[in-house]
Amino acid sequence: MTRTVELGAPSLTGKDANDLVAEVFADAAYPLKVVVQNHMPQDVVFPEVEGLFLRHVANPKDSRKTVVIADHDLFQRLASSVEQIAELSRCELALTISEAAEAAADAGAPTGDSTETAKKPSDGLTYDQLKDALKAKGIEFAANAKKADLAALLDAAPADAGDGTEGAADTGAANA
Amino acid sequence: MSTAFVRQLGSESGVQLNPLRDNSEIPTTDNSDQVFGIMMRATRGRIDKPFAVDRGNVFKKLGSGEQVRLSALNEAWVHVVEALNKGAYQAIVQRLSTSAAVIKYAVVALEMSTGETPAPTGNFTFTVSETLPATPYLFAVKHLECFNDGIVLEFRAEEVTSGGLPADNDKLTLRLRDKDGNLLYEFYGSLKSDAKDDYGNSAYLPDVALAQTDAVEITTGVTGASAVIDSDSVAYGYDTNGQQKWAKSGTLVCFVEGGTAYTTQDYMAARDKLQYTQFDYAYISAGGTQAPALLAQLAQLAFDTNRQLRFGIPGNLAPEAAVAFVNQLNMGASQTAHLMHAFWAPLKSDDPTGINPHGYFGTETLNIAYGCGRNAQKNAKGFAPKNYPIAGREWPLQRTRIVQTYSPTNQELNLLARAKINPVIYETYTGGGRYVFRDSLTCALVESSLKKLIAVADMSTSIDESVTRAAKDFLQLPMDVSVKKMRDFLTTLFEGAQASGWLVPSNDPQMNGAAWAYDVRPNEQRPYDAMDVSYWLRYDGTNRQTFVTQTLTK
Repeated sequence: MTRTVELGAPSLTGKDANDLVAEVFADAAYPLKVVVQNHMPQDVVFPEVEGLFLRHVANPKDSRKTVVIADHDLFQRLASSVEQIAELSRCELALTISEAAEAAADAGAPTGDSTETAKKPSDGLTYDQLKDALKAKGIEFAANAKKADLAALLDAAPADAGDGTEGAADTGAANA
Repeated sequence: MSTAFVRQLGSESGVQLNPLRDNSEIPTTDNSDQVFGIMMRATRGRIDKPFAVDRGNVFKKLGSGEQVRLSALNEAWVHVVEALNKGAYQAIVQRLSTSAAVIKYAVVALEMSTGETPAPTGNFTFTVSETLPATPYLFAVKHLECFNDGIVLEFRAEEVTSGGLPADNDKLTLRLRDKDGNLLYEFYGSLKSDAKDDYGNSAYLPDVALAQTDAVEITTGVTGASAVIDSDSVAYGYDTNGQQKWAKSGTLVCFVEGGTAYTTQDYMAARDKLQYTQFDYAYISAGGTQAPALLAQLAQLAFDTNRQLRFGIPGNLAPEAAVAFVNQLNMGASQTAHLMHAFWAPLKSDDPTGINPHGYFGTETLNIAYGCGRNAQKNAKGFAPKNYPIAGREWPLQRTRIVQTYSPTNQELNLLARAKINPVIYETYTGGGRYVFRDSLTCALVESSLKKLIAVADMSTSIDESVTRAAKDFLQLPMDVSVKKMRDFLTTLFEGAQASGWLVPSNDPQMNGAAWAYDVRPNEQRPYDAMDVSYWLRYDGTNRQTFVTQTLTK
């Protein structure tokens, strides 16, 4: 059974983040791969955990990320930091942290893991289906356009709200 | 010797000499503006209150450091050592700890034989115990400096004779060493609680230790005739070669750090200790922390103490993430946002202390160290050149093999400046390029105000500190005297500040072209016990942007 913990401002939830993490992940084995979802309306970054830079909640693709937590102490320090940011932002629900296995089982759920292969909207569509999809989105295209051009147009089109199935997440790392 | 006076004259004829009256005292500044405070994880150092370290004792007090690859928390040690070697006079350290930390006793007891009638063998046992043992023991030592790597005890009693024969001695010399053999403390005292020295002071070993330091607590576990070092023991007198005999322990690890799972309460406890310490400091360093929870507490400390907090944004973050890091802490919303200064150094370099491989090391504490070094150079009026910020050409990073891992575009530099982040990157100047603090902005969310400048934050906090310190000196004086003293003090202070280039003539019509003005008077509502002090100052600014235009003429 996978574990999930919801962290927020203790003054609003009445729950201490450190206690929640200690309770839910009491017998976890480290390093622990987890999926972190940002529920706050702001971008947040927790450099204690490598690559944990999450966009605001309205960005379905990059507000969720899979990261590895090295040990229990680091997890507790992360919980302290989340709690502090949630308190400053007055958020009852700031982040959800789940074991990565749960996310994997969640079909179609975006994990934000940069190692995953992104699925393009044009994948598996025929020439006519591509044309129909573009028309449905109101995107103009040349009558004699090739299939590759149509696919590129469709892939470049902004995704519908809630469609978070594409793209590799920003790792937050510098372009070293 | 006959004196010509008495101190208190009655009705008799004579001369009364009153105690010397000192009106010569001039308020002066100490060197607290060359000292910084820090909350950090360390492998040595007491956890109950802050302590001071300098470049001479930093290794003894904070240990030899551990690699950052073991824990990112170890970067703070690098910061402190580098800062002390690059200009900081002292660091006031509050060691972070959790509720799981335990300080144990090092217990010394007589070794007993294992026969049917146990008897002392002449040797001693050294054990580590969380509580004092119920069974008899010679003495126990609690070392509050909490060395993760353990301590070593050694002790001996001098030879004394009675009737020409060696006799048991209740007095002993006790030494505490670190695991490498460096001497930490040496005490000479007795195991008997009623022992006195030649001056009648207590010579009881726990009292002797207490008189010398508050970092070591000694408890004795024997009384009466048992409170002696036996003349047959390995800690008594001399061996056949005439060498002193010492009973020596192995390394006793008496401190259990209890992990580094710091909770918000742990950070808050450390903040409280650093706020109420007797040590003074002008700057607060984040010590390379990556924990927003710790930074939030440091920001609160900056507010509470009116000290400048300088923190670094991890160098491996891209500009967008760096901005998010600062924004999520909402420092700009603080009333004292001008006290918070952010630095982002996308630079890899050699570890200035040499214990880590090439990597990212924050620059905020180095910036503070340069500031401390600058502050030591006071002019004749006692003012340091704080109007010169630690930024730009004159303050290159003194590190080796620096590699810049991210080169921000102009748009990204603009983004960073708007987020009040000071990049630490490569810049080219006359005489060559160097890695510098490119800007000197505070976190104050203002556009055209002196509050945005670090130099002004530096000067204004100094002035605030001087004024409040003087105001405290003038408390509990008659109101008239207090007002006069305060006015005299402010006049001297502000004249000195202007002469030192801190203040320049103001354009504000209310200032009438003056650089400073003050108003000191008894409070209108409470004229008997309250005094109001207000002052208006026009600090000199810092040139951050220069616009150059060349025009061709015919």
